[in-house]
Amino acid sequence: MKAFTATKLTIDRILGIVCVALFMALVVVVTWQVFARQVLLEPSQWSESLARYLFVWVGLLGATLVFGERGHIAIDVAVRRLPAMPQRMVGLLVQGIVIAFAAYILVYGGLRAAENAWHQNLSGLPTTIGPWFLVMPISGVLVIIYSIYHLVRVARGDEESFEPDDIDTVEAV
Amino acid sequence: MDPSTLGALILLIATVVLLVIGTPIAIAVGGATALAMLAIFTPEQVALTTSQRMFTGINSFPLLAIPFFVLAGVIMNNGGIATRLIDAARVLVGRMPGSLAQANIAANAMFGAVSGSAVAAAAAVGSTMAPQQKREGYDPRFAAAVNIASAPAGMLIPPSNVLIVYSLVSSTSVAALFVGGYLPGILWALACMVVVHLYARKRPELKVTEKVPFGVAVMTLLKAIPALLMIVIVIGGILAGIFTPTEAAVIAVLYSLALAFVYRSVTLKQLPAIFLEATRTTSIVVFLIGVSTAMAWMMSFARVPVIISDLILGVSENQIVVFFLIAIALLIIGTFMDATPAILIFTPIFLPIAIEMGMHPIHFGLFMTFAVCVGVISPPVGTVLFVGARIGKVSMESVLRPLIPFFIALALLLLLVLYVPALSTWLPSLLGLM
Repeated sequence: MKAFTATKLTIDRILGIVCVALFMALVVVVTWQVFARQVLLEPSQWSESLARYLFVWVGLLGATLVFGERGHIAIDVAVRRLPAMPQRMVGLLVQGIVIAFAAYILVYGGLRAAENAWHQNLSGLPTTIGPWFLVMPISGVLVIIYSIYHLVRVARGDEESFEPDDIDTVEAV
Repeated sequence: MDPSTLGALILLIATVVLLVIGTPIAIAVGGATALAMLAIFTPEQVALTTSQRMFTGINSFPLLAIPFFVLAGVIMNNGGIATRLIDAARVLVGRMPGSLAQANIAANAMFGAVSGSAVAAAAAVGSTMAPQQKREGYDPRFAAAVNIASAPAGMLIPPSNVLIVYSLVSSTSVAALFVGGYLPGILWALACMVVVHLYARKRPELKVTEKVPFGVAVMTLLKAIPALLMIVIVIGGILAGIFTPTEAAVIAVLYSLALAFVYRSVTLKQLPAIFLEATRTTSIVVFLIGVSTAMAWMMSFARVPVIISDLILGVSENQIVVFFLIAIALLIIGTFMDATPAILIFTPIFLPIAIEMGMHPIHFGLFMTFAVCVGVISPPVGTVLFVGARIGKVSMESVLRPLIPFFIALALLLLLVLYVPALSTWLPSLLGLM
């Protein structure tokens, strides 16, 4: 378990750095778009699509990070009234559902989508669309690792079956 | 049963079951969508379509305004901009009875006018105001209720992330929604001020207001001007056609960063932490938008909007009654669900009915946002309620009683917003945006 926790923390750190770097790049790209049009009077041909694809990466990798923190919003008023044991069972079931979704839609579906669009051209950028889809299987695998981590910890009683709401993560708009 | 009806049934049941057992909302939405699609398509098609819809749902330039507005909000919270707005609000309403509570409302509205998030406002303004109010003899439960009730005004006053989300699912103009949000948002704040006024009038001990020397007052207001200039740059820039909303949002980031550096309240070293905080907030919403896009596609495939519309129109075909039923439904939905998922999931269902009954999509968007915002301050699930109580250091249950008069005022105002379209559409049509 110690090694698992260490791995989880390493993934956290790397994901955090990647997200921050991509987000900063996003600010730079859209700033460039405004600058190119308003100041250079030469609208950029590539900035909008690059920004959109970077945004998908920030969004999905960021969401993955939040899965690691169990920070996604859920309606847990009902399950919290359950006695400890059934509550833990439901908690394990929920982690199982997250794993199933990540494996089926993000990993399998994402790989199929990437394959489908592998040779599809992306106007203004030197890449095709396909590789950009790889963020889905990448996120999927990491979500699975995170959810197994939480599943084990809930089963061992190391963490609560349902995460108490956290001010940092409820700031969803 | 034909496959698409079966799909609709599975969608409904699976969503409800998954939500009730405490599955993260995004996974409940995505999982239910996939299950429902399995009734119609092959497993391979389901995986492919769902992941494609998720990806394309997020892959949108207008949506990019959200992370930038969130980022600008986080910078403003850390950058001494929030404090300057609060000081200005105190000077503006300082002579009114219950002035500290009134200042809290004014600060929330002003914060809403420069940032896109209500929870950020509740946190930033409440954490400064709550201790001051306690010191001057306010009931902390009342103080927390004031902060909670007035924070969502900022979700209607532009820029607003919720309105951006609505514009995306309804294909309406962000500029028109932003401008349309001013009146309902300001009325929201005014309604709260009326409640506070009635409360404070009966409590002479709260009337004590320090008199600020004229020079100090002027200085305080001047200090807030750079922050308020944000409104001119962002909203003005959008209306003048200089920027798209997304570009305006990135300008808001640069501007708030510049201010924060000038005020020396943010250092380069803190930037990664600020970006990470904004990433968290953003990605929760973004992931939801992705799965909701997949769900919206499945819903229209299974003709869910038509089924619901038949159901509602079966009760009555009177416009006033139908709108009222939708309002009640939205209030109930809002109490269980956060504003963003509620808008994402229920716009595709209710908007077609509203349009059929003669409501303009801009009017519907502001009405719907207003209704679900009443939900974010009400139990059992209300993020603003939750954060506001935590910030005010009181229990969630104890703020409910002082919140009741605000609920009543806001519910009445909701009816006004619903039945007087001009409140939402007059300004945007005046500016030729719709």
